[in-house]
Amino acid sequence: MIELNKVGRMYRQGNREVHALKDISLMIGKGEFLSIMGPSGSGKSTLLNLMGGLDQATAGEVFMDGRPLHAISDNELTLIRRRRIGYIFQFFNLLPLLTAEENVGLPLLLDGLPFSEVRPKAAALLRQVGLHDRSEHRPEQLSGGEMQRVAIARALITGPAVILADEPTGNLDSHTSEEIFLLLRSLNEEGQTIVMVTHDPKAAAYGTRIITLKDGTLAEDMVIGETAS
Amino acid sequence: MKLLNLLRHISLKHLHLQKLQLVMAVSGICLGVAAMVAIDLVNRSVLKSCEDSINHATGRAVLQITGGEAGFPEEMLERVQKLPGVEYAVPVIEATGGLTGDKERALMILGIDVLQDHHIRDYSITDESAEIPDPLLFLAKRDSILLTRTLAGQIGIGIDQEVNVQTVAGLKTFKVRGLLNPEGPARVAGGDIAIMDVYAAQMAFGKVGSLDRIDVSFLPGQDFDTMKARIEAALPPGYDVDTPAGRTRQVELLLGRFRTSMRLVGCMALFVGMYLIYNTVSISVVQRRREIGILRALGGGRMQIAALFLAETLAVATFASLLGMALGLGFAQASVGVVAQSVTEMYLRTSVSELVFSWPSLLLNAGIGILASLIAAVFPSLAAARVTPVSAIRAVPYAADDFLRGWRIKFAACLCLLIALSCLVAFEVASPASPAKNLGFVVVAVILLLLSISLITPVLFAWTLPLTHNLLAFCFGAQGRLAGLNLQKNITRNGVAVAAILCSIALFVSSANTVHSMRTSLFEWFDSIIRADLLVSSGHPLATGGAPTIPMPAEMLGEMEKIPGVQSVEPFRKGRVSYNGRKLMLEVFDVALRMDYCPAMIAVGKRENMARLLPDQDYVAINEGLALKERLRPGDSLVLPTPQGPVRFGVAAVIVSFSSDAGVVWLDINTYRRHWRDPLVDTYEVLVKPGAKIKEVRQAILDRFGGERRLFALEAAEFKVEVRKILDRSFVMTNAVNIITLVIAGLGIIVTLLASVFERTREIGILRGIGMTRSQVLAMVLIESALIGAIGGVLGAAAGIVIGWIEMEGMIRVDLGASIGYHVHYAALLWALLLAVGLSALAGIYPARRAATTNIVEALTYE
Amino acid sequence: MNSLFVTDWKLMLLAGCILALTLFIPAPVQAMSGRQVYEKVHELRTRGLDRQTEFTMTLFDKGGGTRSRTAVEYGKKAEGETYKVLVVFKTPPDLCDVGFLIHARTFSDRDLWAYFPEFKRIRRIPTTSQDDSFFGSDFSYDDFGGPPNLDDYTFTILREEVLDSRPCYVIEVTPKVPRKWSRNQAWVDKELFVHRKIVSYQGKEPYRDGTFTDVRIVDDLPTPFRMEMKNLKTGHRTEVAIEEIHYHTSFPDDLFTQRSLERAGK
Repeated sequence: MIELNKVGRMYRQGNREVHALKDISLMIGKGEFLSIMGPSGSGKSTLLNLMGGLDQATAGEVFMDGRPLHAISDNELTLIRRRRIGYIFQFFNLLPLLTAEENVGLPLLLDGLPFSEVRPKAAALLRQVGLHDRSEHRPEQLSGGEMQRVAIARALITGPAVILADEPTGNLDSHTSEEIFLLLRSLNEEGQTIVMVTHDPKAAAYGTRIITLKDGTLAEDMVIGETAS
Repeated sequence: MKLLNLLRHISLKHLHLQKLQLVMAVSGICLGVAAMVAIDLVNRSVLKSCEDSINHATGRAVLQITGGEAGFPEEMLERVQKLPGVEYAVPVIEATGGLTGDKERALMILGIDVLQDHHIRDYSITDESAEIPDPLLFLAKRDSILLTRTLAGQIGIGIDQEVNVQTVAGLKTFKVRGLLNPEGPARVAGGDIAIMDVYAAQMAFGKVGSLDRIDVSFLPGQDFDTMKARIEAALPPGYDVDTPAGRTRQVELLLGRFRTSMRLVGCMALFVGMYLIYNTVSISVVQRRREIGILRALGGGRMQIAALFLAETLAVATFASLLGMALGLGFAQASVGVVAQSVTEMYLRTSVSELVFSWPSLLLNAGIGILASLIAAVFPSLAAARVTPVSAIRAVPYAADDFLRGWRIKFAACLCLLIALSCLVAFEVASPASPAKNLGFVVVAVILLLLSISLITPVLFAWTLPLTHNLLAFCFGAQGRLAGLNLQKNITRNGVAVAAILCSIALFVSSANTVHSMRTSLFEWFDSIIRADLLVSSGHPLATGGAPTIPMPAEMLGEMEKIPGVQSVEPFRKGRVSYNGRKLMLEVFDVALRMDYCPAMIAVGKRENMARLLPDQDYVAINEGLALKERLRPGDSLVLPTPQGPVRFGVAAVIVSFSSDAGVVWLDINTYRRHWRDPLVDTYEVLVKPGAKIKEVRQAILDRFGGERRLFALEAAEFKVEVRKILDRSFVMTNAVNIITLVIAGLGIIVTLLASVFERTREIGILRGIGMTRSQVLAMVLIESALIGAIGGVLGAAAGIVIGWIEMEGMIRVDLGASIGYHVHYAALLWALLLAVGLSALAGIYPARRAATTNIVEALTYE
Repeated sequence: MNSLFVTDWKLMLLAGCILALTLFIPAPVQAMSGRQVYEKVHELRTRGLDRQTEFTMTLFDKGGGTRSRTAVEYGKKAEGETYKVLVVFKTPPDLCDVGFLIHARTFSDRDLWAYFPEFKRIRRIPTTSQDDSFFGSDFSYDDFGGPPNLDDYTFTILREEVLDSRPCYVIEVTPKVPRKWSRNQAWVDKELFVHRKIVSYQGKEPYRDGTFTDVRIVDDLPTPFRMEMKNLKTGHRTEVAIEEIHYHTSFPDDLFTQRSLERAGK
């Protein structure tokens, strides 16, 4: 499903070159729940961003469903982001002006669907994440956990091939975090491929496979559970 | 579809929730469009009114015959009437008067053959279109006059009552014998017109036996050119046979300067408006960077993002432009009266009775406003499209930070500058006929120059800022130093603010300078030609609308010189002469005498060459405008029609004169008399002996001639004051638009600074967190704002001076000649600086207070 | 009708019946045609062209204001249809010595000049529309000219009618070429063949009403001494009262020259 082949990402800071990622090769199969671990600055988020097409690799190849993300146009990349990938951010990244329902439906709105079509899907997903009574609320009126659940619903609305989650509970208390992980896990059990960045081993344990990064290189790769099929 | 979705779900909410910025943007566009609409309406209305005046006064006439300023013998009428193919030929006398009484009011007096005139013009004194109780009496009495119903109603005068009119021939009492309905010629000049029988007019205005004009219509089936040639052949040389449309063209030529300056300030208002939009959209992009990042991360395409911002601009601009149309109508209504008065004083009798309202022109202006807004929004919208999806996740200080100070921008700035310079150079070297001598080049140059300056501003800002550090620290202590550092840390974002202020101030300063230069040049020229102490004329020297004066005999000169206290007397005669379809102003005086005491401004050619104008040589001097338009230089020659046939005159020099936009020709009075056989004089310019009292000499002149004729002797100082007033009034509209420009600029400054402080909530939270007091925060933000304003203001004033020069070169000197000096309007400069600093500080107050009351915890947890 | 066989009272009765009939029957058989009536009018007017008249003209405006002027008119008939007229105003002082001179070549073609002493200038007055108001009065240029050219009109007797106790023909006069008025209805005295009343119509609307009263016989010629013309649309009216009139005058030709006009006929 996602294939990384000797991927590197280099940033330039003044005259200095910083290698955030070096020579990473990785295969992620359908139905996997991959947890990416590692200390701060080890390149976890960078790796996720490369997989999600938010950022582009400076070396190596990234394939998604066999398509080379490193070599396609911005437009194609945009379409892949829109239709094949669901993103969950640490800071939720909901648009503050939009209601929960609109936020959830946003990817489809971007795709040009009329709101009347988007709305029932968004409502269904909100129900699925347990927020059907919050659909008209704006992010500021929601709690952190609720916001993240809205974000998960948004990630799901296009029926993406993979959900990429970047420290999805980084801003939440442990109880709420637990709920979110359970939600993700149940999604995975239904067959949803998930890649999650976290620095918390307990959280990582919800996954079916854990990789650990260290200084931009792959330090460990371990399968701990069964891949849903 | 996609776009509408996004607009509905995202943009509308922004518009709804960011009311302040919305109001600013809307006001900016609205004012800009209003200024353009008002200028356009006023321009059209004044021109239409002038044309109407001519067309109504022209009626069905196909050709008009004129012959010199002082009229021509009425025998010509019969000659023309007898020509085969001529249907009607009717005489006309034109005069200007002022109603005296409670309210001074200018009046156009048309002398026509009331028995014949209905063949040409739409009315008849015996018809229902007029109320003339006793036409026989009207014809029998030489004091008979007809007023329009409108005018009579306004001044409260009825039939059989007397009305006092100050005319060029002195104060006259007329008796109102009837009232005209506002039709045909009675519509001329908005009804401020009186009609007399042509023979009564001849007597009233001292023109017995002569006519100002003959209006001719043809029998059906006559060939125009044949008829024109036939009429020209029947008349002595020196007569001008032209179509009334030709006269309309003359009006356009005549109003040239007025229209140019109006167009100029209109462009400026538009530029500033564009900048405001550019700025507002830019800020919106900066503020919504994160939102854009999220949209991009969720799969929003680049073009979708750009289109979103453009569509938002379109919506706001459309709304604001429509509002601007309405406001513009109001502005026009308020200003048209003043403008019409000014046109009357400077060019020709007119009074605008109604605005020329045309939907196409209104919509065109609104369209220009919308289009300009969109163009202005293109650059920031594309910048929005460049925001990377990662911006949604990472707190990049300013996504385009490197970009805006990178080599690409520097390169783009240099490129713009280069193109701007080449446009200018091309314009400068081009000959007047080449297509490069086009206003478009100048406009493009100015826009590119502004663009280049805007692009380079962050760099400039980065250079300037360190210079202020020590000063700030010295004056304001810690918060001063901090403010400086703050600005420096965020050079790019603040650079945008500085650029906004810079451009606004630059445009204001440039148009203020241009107008000031025109004004100063006019005054300088005027001072240079009026060197005498007393101006003696038979009609009031301030008689307006190019009114023909009552000339005086040449013999008066000798007698006047005998009056004690008089040092010298110089005759001056004014006339009109046709040349290549232009009505040139002929200014005739005693060159030998004038060369002695008058520092006439010579543009091209040597001052010694003016001696060529002396009596026995056929030389003239022409003004710059004419030289430019007809491509004449000293040494060239031109053929002018004289009553004795065409005469070739050499051009001795090109002089500075703004007497007429159509062109001015200077001629020695002896040469003039030789060719024109005209011994009359319009004005005697008297120089008083040193030590003699001007007032006494003036009285002596009045005493000496007062018995024979009505004389006006005006002290030159008095005259100058009056003329200055008139000239100043002609800039009223320009000044008003300049102020609008400044207001838009002020709005731009406020928008920029508001946005800049809103952006920094977190930063201020940190500062508060590390122990800054509220008042320190307040002071810091205010100092920052004022500093941005000051740097923007200074850079803007400098740029404005340059741009003003370009406008001068490209729009004014092309028409009026290179001798119009470029004068910096220091008061406007000071105002601009004060305004930049003041408005910036003011704009800083709200955000500063907000910053001071920022909840530290919230500020830090956000993002 | 044969009066020899009926008694006086029967005659009276019959006359009464006929009179009554003429009132109700649109086109009774007439002894004279309209044209014949007008030929008679025309002949009398032509004979009256040699004359000297002193008259007062008064203009009454709607608001009640009046303007009076007095004038002397000299007329001379020449060969064929030609005639000449000189009018010189006497009062008010503003109009004193203002004069008009008419040289008629035919009854429908004439030259008209005016003289204004303040300007010392004779001005030709173009006669573009003969129906235009004659210098602010309610009379037209045509009214002031000589008799009209009969061939330009058709005449129809509508009825006979007693007007101010004078029996009249009521004749419809229609111009062959359309004029400012579409038709006139004229009351012509059956006995004297002078106009008693003329109403001009524009379409169906009457717009001008002229009455001619105080008809006296002067030098064999019936002459109305008072003429009043009223514009029904504006409410403006004009009265002309003859002070003195002599017919069969024979003025010398040089009274009708432009030099004479300049000297006010003196």
